[in-house]
Amino acid sequence: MMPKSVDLEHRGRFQAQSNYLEESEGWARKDPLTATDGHHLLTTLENRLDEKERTIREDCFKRAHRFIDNAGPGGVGPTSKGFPVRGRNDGSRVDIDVKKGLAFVREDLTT
Amino acid sequence: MMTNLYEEFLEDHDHYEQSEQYWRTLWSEVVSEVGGGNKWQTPWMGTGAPHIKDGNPIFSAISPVLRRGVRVIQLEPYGSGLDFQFWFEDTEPNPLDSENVRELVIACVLSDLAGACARKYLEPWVAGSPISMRPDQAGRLTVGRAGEREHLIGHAA
Repeated sequence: MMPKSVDLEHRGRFQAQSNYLEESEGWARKDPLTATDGHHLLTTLENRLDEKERTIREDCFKRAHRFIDNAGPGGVGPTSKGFPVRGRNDGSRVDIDVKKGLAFVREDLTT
Repeated sequence: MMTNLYEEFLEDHDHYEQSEQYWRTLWSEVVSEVGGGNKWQTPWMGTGAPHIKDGNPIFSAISPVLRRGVRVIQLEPYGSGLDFQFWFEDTEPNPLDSENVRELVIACVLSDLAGACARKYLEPWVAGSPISMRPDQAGRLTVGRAGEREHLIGHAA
């Protein structure tokens, strides 16, 4: 579980879920999460899944990466995005939850 | 026969606004029918930034009284037939957290049939009724008010 601290003003998580699976990669930082770090965390989550679950969610991960790319220079504020596997009915999906602060900002805007 | 609505919502600004209006109207009808005692507020959650018009979510609402939320994700058309999914989500890692909100998330291609399905699931959720979920004989999940006949979660790829 991520610590809730007043010093960590930028928090969120990536999740891979279904009726039978729940894996997540979270962040809690003083500074906004950069787009590069967002891609890295999302890939880390993807690589943690076994081949079957990764394959099921291949398009979901692509859509989630595309969302990070399309966030714009200033990133995004709190939101919750769901990228469900199309054509299934078991809740298989990839989620992006920006809980607090900003995420996916361009690197040169964080310094 | 099922009719998809506002299929170009990701490319056509008018279709996007019409989609938003569709969900607001459906929501108003549900809340009006169920009653406003649970003080639902909408919108609750945005897309992350004003310039992002991805339909994810296209509609959201929260009831601090019930600690329940609603999020609707509108999807691009994919295949033929009804495309409708839902799931439940806790906003906090620990569901017992005092800040936790239990969400009903609906993800669908907007159609007249999907709207009718959404209404079936929203009504008990908005009312604060207990929801039951169970698989039918074909393994498909069904949902309804606990103790009532469940509604099939329609999904056709």
